[in-house]
Amino acid sequence: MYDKEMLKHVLSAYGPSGREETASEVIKSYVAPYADEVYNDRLGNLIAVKKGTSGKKIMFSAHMDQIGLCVVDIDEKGFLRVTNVGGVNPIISIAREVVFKNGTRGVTFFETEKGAKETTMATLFVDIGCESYEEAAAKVDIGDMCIFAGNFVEMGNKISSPYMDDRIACAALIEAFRTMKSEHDVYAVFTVQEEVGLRGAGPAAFAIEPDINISCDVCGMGDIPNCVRMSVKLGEGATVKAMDSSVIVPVKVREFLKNAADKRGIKWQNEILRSGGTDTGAAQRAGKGTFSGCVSIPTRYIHAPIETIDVRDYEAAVALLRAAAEEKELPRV
Amino acid sequence: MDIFKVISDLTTLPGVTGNEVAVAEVLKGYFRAYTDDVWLDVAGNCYARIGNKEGPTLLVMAHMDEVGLMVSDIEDNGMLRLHSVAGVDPRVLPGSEVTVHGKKRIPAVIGAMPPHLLSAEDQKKNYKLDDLVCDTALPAEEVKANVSVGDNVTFALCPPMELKNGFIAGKTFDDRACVAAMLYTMELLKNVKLNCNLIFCGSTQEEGPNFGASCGSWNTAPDMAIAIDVCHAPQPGAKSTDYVEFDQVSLTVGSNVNQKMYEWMCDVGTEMNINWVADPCMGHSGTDAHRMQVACAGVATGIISLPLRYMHTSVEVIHMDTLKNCAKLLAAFAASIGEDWEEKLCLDD
Repeated sequence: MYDKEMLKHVLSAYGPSGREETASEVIKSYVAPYADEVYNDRLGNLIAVKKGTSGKKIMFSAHMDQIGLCVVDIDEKGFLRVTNVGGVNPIISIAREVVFKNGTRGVTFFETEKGAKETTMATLFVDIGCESYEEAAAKVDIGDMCIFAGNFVEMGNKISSPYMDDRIACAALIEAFRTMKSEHDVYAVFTVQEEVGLRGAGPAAFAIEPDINISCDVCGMGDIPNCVRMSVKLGEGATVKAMDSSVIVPVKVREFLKNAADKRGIKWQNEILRSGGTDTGAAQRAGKGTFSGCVSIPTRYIHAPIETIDVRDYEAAVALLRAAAEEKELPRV
Repeated sequence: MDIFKVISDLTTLPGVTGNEVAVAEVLKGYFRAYTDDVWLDVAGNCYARIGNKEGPTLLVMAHMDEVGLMVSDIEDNGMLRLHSVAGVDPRVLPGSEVTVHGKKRIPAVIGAMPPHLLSAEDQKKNYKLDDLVCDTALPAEEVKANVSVGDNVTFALCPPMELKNGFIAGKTFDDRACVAAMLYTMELLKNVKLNCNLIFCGSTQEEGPNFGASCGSWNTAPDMAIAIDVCHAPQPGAKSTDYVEFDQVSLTVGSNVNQKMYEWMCDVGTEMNINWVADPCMGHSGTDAHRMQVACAGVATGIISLPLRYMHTSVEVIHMDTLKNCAKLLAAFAASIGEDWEEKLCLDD
């Protein structure tokens, strides 16, 4: 059974891209007791290390940043204008509750002169309940970021929450890190700024120079009504990525993950993510290059504040990350 | 050296971007005819080193990968759905013969709705990849037993055709014809004493995320690097600014190229009496040079291109004499690298 309190805590921690400190502190509190060393690098990536004896290094990475909205202007009536941090769809950003780092709450809406469907970032605004520029500016500054507030909703085997992407993978990596026994040096890297261009994972891989990197992220699926065709289904297991827009995973790495899963009876499925990139590619191309693969948790409604996963896939991902760390032989050139 | 046979051997191998292992294996064998110093790296790049190890390093890259597809879904009836790995134009796919690289190689065809069953309006539209199926004609159970999501699909692995007057047509001349040109360069340099440390590299993923070029440059830390790739030849509808003539070796001038390298290569071409032409390209050259240039602390890059018609199809057309001239220019350039190479590349004169 998974650690629900930890999961809720990690899912709800504040940390839009570039402002990951709070999320980093929360994650650190869960991994530090199990690590030989924990540090943040210059970019803010949180790195927890467990020493092994094989002389080899295995890196795991999950991004701790989340998409959000950044304040660009405050008008004389105290309404906030915002721009997107990462891939935010303006139309599904209306009529949402948001929250700032300092706890300031707000709601979003659109200029009603036009229809909701015509909403753009320029016509979206945030109402924090203030009546003047001064009152609003005392609570929120230009450059401050808010995230979508939301709940932890349990629906049978499914859970919904605004930021499964990618906190569900952070939680999976925490769970795996706490229990894994590896011969290799294990680097659990909670990366920054994935949502704004896969910025954190490359420098981390460059510094660590691992023998292999396994990223953990969410991926789309093809099992909701009339959606884009994709073979991945919720409840069918964690995925072993074949490719996405940032990476083509070497067959050797895919086989490594599949074998690790099959040996232990862990349920997995093949994944081709049709659009969107992941830290997998950034880690692969850092410096002299790294074997890089990815285990994903199938997720419905990615980048909408009701991202939904299946607990069984989450548990399979935890098991598969742990299994990869416990493999003696890592892929070789 | 029978260049046509080399091209035929190389282009009948599957090597979709990201999975070039089969090509690298065969290329290793070809490289070994010239040197024992042959190796692979994490990206799947295949290298061979000749010349003077103490000299400045010249890295030459021609990419081994080909545009291709991946199985993205298997329908209940056994029909395969496809995803483009890199560079596939869905408009050339309907009616193609392909090979599915599952647990075994399975011949298949790409099917689409016939015009009889399309509305008048839809008949005018191009098929998109989602409209097409890959049909092995096997029972669904057999398909599912042998094929998985993530398996590659290539154009059928047919040998190239010899057309008239030195032209040949086939799949994957982009860029394995240039891999063959690299081997011919080694042949030309067999008895030449080189001052430079010359590394040839069959690179990976040029059509995709360009992993091979960045990884290869970081791994070899070259002083100079040349990408050898294909460019467009005259073809119906193309503007004169978009192509170079079939009998001309293209030397790219532009932002992915070091101006001094370019001028040096032009001089070598002229001295060798090779019919070359300046091919301006500002911005991304669409070659390995794009990444090689900015690897490590920066690399002086050049680009040699072979004109080709019908890029990214199964009937790419090139001329054998121009391919040989690309190799001659490359060999002469490598041989011209002397003690004064740094002065030649110095931009402050």
